[in-house]
Amino acid sequence: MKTIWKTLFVVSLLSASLATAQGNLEVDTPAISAIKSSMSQRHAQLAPLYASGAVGLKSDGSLAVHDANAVPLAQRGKLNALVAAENNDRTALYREIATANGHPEWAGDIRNTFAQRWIDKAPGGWWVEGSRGWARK
Amino acid sequence: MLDGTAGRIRLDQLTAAGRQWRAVQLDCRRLRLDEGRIQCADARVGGVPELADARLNLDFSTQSRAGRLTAQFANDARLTATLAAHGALDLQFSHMPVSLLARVWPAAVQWHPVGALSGRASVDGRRATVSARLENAGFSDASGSHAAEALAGDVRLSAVRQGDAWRWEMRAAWTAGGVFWDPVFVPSGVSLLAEGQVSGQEVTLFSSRLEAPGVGDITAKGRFDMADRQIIDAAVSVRRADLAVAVPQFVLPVVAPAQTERWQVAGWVDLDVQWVGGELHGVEVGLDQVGFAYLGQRFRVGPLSGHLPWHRDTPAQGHLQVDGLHWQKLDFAPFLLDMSVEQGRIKVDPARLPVLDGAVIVDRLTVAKTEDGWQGAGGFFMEPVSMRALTEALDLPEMVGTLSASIPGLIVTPRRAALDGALVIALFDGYVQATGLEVIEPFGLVPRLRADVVAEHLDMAQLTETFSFGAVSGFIDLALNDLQMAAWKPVRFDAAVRSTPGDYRRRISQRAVEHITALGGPSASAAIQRSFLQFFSDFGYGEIGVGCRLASGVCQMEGLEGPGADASPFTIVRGGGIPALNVIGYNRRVNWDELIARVKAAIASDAAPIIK
Amino acid sequence: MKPVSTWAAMLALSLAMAGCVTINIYFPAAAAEKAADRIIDEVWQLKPDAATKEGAPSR
Repeated sequence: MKTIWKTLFVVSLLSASLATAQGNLEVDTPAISAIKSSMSQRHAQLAPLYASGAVGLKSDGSLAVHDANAVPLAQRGKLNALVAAENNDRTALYREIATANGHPEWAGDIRNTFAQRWIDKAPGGWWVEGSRGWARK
Repeated sequence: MLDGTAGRIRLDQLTAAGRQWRAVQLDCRRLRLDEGRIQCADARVGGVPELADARLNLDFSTQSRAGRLTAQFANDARLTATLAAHGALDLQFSHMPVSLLARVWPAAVQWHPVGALSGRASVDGRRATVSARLENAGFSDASGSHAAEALAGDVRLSAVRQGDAWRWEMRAAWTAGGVFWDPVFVPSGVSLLAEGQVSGQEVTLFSSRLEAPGVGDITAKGRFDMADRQIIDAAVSVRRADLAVAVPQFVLPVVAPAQTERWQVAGWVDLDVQWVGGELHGVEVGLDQVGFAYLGQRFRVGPLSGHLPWHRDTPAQGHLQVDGLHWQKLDFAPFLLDMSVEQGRIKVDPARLPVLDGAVIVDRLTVAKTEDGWQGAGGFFMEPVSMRALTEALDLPEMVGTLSASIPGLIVTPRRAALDGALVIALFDGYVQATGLEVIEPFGLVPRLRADVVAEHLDMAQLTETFSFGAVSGFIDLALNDLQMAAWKPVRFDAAVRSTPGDYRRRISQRAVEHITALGGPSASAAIQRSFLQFFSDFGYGEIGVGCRLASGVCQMEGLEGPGADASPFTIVRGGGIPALNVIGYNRRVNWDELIARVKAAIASDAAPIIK
Repeated sequence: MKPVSTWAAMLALSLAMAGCVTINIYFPAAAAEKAADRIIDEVWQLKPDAATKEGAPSR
């Protein structure tokens, strides 16, 4: 009984914004563009590291050093810096998408959605974190 | 009595290096037992798996308690231990694999140690010496985040017993290879010279000197309590540390790993740190030709030189000579900052920072440690700077007039810069005032700005001339409420422009009218009779008023009448005088990016007028 | 309808209203996934890459 009431009211209250909410999320703000371009630029450096297994995709939508041994010793500091910078950007991206759509509290859901899609879209050979730990796609 | 035949020595129990083995046996190819002398040649060890591949030669006299043990391992590794009658022990080793360490010390297994150790160690009651050379050494944990490769180095240590204490002297050089200890990589080229004394739990360092690439020359002395792992008294001094090497290598990876690539640092630093009675007592920092730049924000500081002291109990005077401060093309002339440094607080004396034809005056400035980390607070004002020079330096359209500003309260933390009070800029014969100005993460990827801006009595003639927007005479007031910018682009505001009330000449040029109508898009342009416009170069107007509420990339426009239904027309310019002209907008919802593109197009078309 | 049940319904209604205003029940999962795909394609430059791979054998 209560559920029905709830549902009814959700529909009526959101109907005004539903048209936009159901269609697309707003992802074309200056902040999101800035983050995207920073991430695209970094991807050129990250791509070989994904392929070699040095970094992998975590199940929480972030990136982690998976096997530092794949990188020469002197470059490992840079590996860390890259991963830290990428994770900073990713966190900012999830937050920005949530705020751009007027729901800062969605950041967690957006992070989870991205986490799944990063892993789904990752090419074969990359390391991803699943429910049973690290695995090679 | 045995003489030269094969034999076996059994030990029920052997305890060494904190470990215990049971039923240890020596299978000797030739065993001699003669008058308290044991000679066992070419022996294998049973019961100790760690020594399974070793060949042993033992010659030991139970009477004199002197003897010699030689162990030969695979790969040319060899160990000789000689025990003299008076108790002196001499150990010689060559090419001993470091991996043997993992055999006797289980904790080392996970580090996969490799390498070869050669050298000699000897101890007799009062004197101990060690000299060793490590080659091709390395280690690594499973993830590779703590690892070393191709290490080579020498160490010489000698110690003499004096009463209850040991006086020691050490010389070490690390000559090849590198160590990565997450998050820092340290290359070879480090040498250490040290002497001191160990007495019970107290270690005294009489003197030490460390040389390493980038960190200059480090000398240290002091006393340490090993039981509490505490410094009692100490003095460390660093001479000519090269910031261009040390900062990206040691500081940024620890402090701001995500920003490592973005900071560029140069210059030299001298550092003196003193501990007295277990407490940090004083720090002296000397800067020489230090400079830093943050990529992507086009600002550079330096070279700066100076002396920054800090003393626990008394305030200390420091100074900083800044020979360069640049933002975009804005160059500050050299200036000197005097400051007093005390516990958790730096107070800068009033100073004048000349820039262009004016100056920024630092009225007060303190940097203090608060609960949320370091925070800067200050008050500034500006001696007037000509807008012509400023706009040129900032690559903006040339403006006339002067800029003078008053910033009574500025608070800066690493994450946020905020104005407490108002920023007032005199501009275009009127003034612009910003309140609640705040920049969050000014050095982040997405700097956010928030402010409420009010402008009054701006001269439209100067304004339109500056931005090549045709010619409009008169004055306007502007209210820009709740301005929010991300990455220096507006994402939200509530703006309204209105003619300033009062009695003044109000004319608008034909070109300006064209530009205004062009902003409304094609539908708005249709309202204007182009043929009629051609007869006049300018028109009179009664009032100008336009508003834009920006949200989600859409500008909701309104005219003099205020808000209205989306489909209802709105008046931007109400006619007055002769000839009179109304500009009416029809499209209330305008895409912001499109509007900006139209403004740019209008300005561009005016900048290159078409001559008919 | 009995008056009692009307009251109950109204009470439920007001509860539901209060609940609706403060609680966010609705997360557009499908839209979020679409947005994520778009951004991931851009960041990883998947689309242009795929196009060149498809184009290469046809020459």
